[in-house]
Amino acid sequence: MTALRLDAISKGYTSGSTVIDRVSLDVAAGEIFALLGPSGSGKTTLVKMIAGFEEPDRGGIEIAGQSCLGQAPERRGAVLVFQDLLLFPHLSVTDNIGFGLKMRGMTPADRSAKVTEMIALLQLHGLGGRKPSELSGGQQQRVALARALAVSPDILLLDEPMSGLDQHLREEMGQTILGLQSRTGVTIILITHDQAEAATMADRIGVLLEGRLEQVGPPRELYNRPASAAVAQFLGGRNFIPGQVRSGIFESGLGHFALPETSAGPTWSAAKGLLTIRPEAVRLAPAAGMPLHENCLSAQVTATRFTGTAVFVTTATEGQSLYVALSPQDAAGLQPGDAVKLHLPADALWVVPNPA
Amino acid sequence: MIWGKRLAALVLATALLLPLVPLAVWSFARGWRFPDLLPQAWSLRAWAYTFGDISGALGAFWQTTLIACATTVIAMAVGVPAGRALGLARFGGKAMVYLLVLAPVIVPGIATALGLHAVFLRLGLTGSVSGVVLVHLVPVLPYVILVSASLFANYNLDYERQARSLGASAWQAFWQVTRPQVAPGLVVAALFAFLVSWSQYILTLLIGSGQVQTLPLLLFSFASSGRNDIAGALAILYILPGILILLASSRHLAAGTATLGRT
Repeated sequence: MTALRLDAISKGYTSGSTVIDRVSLDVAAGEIFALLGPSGSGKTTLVKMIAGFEEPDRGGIEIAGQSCLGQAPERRGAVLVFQDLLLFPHLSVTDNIGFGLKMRGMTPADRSAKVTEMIALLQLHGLGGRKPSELSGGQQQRVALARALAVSPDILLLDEPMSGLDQHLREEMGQTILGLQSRTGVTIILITHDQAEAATMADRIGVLLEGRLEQVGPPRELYNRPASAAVAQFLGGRNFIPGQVRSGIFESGLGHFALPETSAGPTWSAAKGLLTIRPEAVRLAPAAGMPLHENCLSAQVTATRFTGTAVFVTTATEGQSLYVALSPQDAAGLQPGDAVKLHLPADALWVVPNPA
Repeated sequence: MIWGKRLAALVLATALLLPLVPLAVWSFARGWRFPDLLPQAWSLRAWAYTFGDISGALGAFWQTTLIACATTVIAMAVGVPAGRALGLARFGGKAMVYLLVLAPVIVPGIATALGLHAVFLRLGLTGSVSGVVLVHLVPVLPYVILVSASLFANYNLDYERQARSLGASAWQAFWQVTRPQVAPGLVVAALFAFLVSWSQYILTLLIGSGQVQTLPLLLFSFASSGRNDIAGALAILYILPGILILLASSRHLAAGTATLGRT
């Protein structure tokens, strides 16, 4: 069943600039879908239209099979949890969680039962009488989730739910959200600018760039088979070698590269393209250490950058920079100026259209 | 630190209360000539007169209260929505609107009053309580509008959106979520509106044409006729609401600034 259907919705400002450009999307019931995009990509506008705070200029929105164009936010099956959480400061935790139920006219007895259930679900035991200002950041987050889930929405819209949290709390919150989803079966749309957050949480990711939904797919597919150079770049791709495809071989100034045999995307037949490979998929060896076979090239290390969990190595070969992500162990002793060999495994290569 | 604060509070209280002591003394005095530190004789005569039928002080007290209450209610009804719009909405010419709202505060009251007097005469509003209430709105409204505007400018309207998303209607969102959060500030605005109306002299004198007797008018007539004892008793009656309101609102004032400070 489809929980949310966006049918070519567009939204522009009176100045003429387009914020959302013909976005179509189906989200299945029970799915965790991440809407991923940089700030200014239109994520917030898109979410406001789903939640009912803005109307699209064109196109349709259906929630649980019902068109909700022109429907007030309180009548929609989608509940938005704002980035700022916006717990009502004058109400206790209990009254915050029960707010939506009270607005729907639920009797105090039923409301109390539902609130108790939510408190148990989000492990807020003993905090019911507190005011939001007396809670920690993680607790506030859980109260906001409990308040939204209490009204049993079709869709839970989470706007940057982890942005205000410390690193260790982010992981915990991620687990909480995944656990909630598996227990309640609610459809979750996660709005985020953080690719790692989207990749770890979501069943599918939609990449929104400049108001267009550039690509929709499972995280691995987006990382390994980006639809465009822009998507690849946004997901951390940095290696782009210009050239052209000719009968399963990518011909470039750096040499010829064998492409994976199995897949034949639409871009493969295009004469011109960009060969791309994830920095972590590139193999690196000392100049003498690896026999020069297919898809190998010689390069020189120009810089290394230690990030804590990985080392980013910048190499150069014939005026082309190639980036390699290595584990700190593998990168030990690597110095700028070292001559190295790079292996670009055929099954990690991908060709995207050349926008130039 | 704590002693410094206490000292500051003491100085402030002294500066505010000390000038009132002679008034209190006068209201119980029977003759008090210049070099003497205290009156020659004490008496309750001034208080008896004040609360008696002849002085009209009690009538003036209730009249002033009625006018101040009516002014406050109207000013809040008009000023809070205006302040909400000014504080929340973005529109062209907002600075101009602010200037217009501030105009009655900038332009001297007497100038406005003389101009308004002619208009009110033609409309038959002079000498009536409703006319006085109407003219009191001139200095009171700017206070209410500006206080509410700053209150709403610091208010995050996403609270209402969040409430709507959870199932509240537009009215429920305002009443259940916004109102409790801005209430302390609005209470302060209302109290100020009451006090500004309560202390009007020139506007009441001109528009009331001597037929609407309020406490400030009565006080001024006794003070200028040299009856310092009665003037003292009236003055104490006159400052009573101010002190009561200050005591009652001190908590709201603190809560109001806390609300503003949080965002």
